[in-house]
Amino acid sequence: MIGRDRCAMHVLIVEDDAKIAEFVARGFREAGFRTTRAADGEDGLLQAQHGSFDAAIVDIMLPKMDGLELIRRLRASGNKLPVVVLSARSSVDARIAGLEAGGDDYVSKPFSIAEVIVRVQTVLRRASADPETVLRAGDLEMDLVTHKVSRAGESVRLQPLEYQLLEYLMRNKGRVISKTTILERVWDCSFDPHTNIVETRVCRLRDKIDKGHDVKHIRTVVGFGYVLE
Amino acid sequence: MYLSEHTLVWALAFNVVGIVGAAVGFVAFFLAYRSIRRRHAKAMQELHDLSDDIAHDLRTPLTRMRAQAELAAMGDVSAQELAAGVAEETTSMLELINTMLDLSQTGARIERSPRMDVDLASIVRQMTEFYASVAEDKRVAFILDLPEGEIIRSAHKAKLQQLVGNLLDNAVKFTPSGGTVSVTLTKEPETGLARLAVSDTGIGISEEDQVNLFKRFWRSDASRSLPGNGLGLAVVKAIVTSYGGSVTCTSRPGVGTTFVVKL
Repeated sequence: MIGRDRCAMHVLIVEDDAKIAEFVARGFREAGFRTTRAADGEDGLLQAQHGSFDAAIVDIMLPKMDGLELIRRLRASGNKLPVVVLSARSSVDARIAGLEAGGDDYVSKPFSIAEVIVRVQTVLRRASADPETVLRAGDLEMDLVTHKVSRAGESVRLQPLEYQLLEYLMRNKGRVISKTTILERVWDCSFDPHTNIVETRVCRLRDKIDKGHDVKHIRTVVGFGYVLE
Repeated sequence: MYLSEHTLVWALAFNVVGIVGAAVGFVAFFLAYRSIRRRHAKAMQELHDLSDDIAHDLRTPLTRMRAQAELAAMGDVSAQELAAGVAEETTSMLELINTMLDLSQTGARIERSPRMDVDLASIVRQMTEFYASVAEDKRVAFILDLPEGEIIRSAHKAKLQQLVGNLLDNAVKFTPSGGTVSVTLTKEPETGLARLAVSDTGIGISEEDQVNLFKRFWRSDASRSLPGNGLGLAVVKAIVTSYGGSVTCTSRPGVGTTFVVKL
């Protein structure tokens, strides 16, 4: 996501595992961000306070100062830097604690890089002043106010689950969204089914949006999820 | 000191009471000790089994990934294919780990978040909506009998979703094309309990298999070729038990199966 002034967004990655930090940084650079890394909580706090970052990703388990403490101190000093917390899934408390400490969103480990990017883009969007009311991708249009969806001018009728899914895919155009994300984030379902309920809905959505058109918007990335382009 | 016969009788009485009391105390102590040791041994055995189970089920995806990686190193498999394979296997490993952790925590009555008032009716509605398209594709009819209002329970939304989801998942999976899955949710007036019945006209479960149904990792022959890890019903049982409820199964092979959950 490139900022309005064509200057790349700068993200601070506070993570002590060198490989994870490197992979995440690479993912963000591919997505057009600039990245800086801090390997412990103290350094992370210093950088967050004195650097010029647009957002930060903070791991909870850090040496010298844990992620929650970092965020608390950051917020206590009046700093409103958007923060995405990396938490362990098995602990709902850890997630809640992250948000209560002042984090804006969370990603559980193990995460997909694409998902971290999506979360960062989401918090950046929230932090920016103007909310969009119409989402567009090529000749596909979605009006968030009237809830009308159309492709090449022709109206498309979607069921609620399909509508929610399309909105999420369009808001995160170009990012691969996993089935788990779709279940947990889009449809608010904490159950991971073995039957392919996500695939079936995507199929339905494709039938309504892509069928009969040469350009297909929704693409499957085997093993990883779906992306709207 | 002058001791009368009176005193002698009292002294004897106290002695008898004392001895009896000591005996009772000793027996009680022994029984309690034995019970604690048994529970401890059982817990250790379960922990042992749990580690064995997890290790066993993780070895398969690990083996697959390793094999594919070897082939990729030899040039037999493209990087793209390897990436897809690794992503799929790691997803299923993660799901297994998460489910096992949830299962043991639920079983050990560890609740990591507070119970809240959750509307069971809306969860059943939500989960049946998820499965509607799968059922439709498979030409399995869904018959719903849900209450108009709410049925509130003090529980965890995620666990109730898992409970309902697993039952629906099985019902749809094991019902062949042309069959029916019926979901009924009611409140029993006498007990105030919620009663959820998920019925299917599927392949059914034999009597011998019904005994093993709720065991972790147990899978019937018919289920082995279908997606799943054998934990679904174990999860259902653990959740239902942790909320003080019950789950029963009645089935006839070739006719269908009904699961009834009372919460």
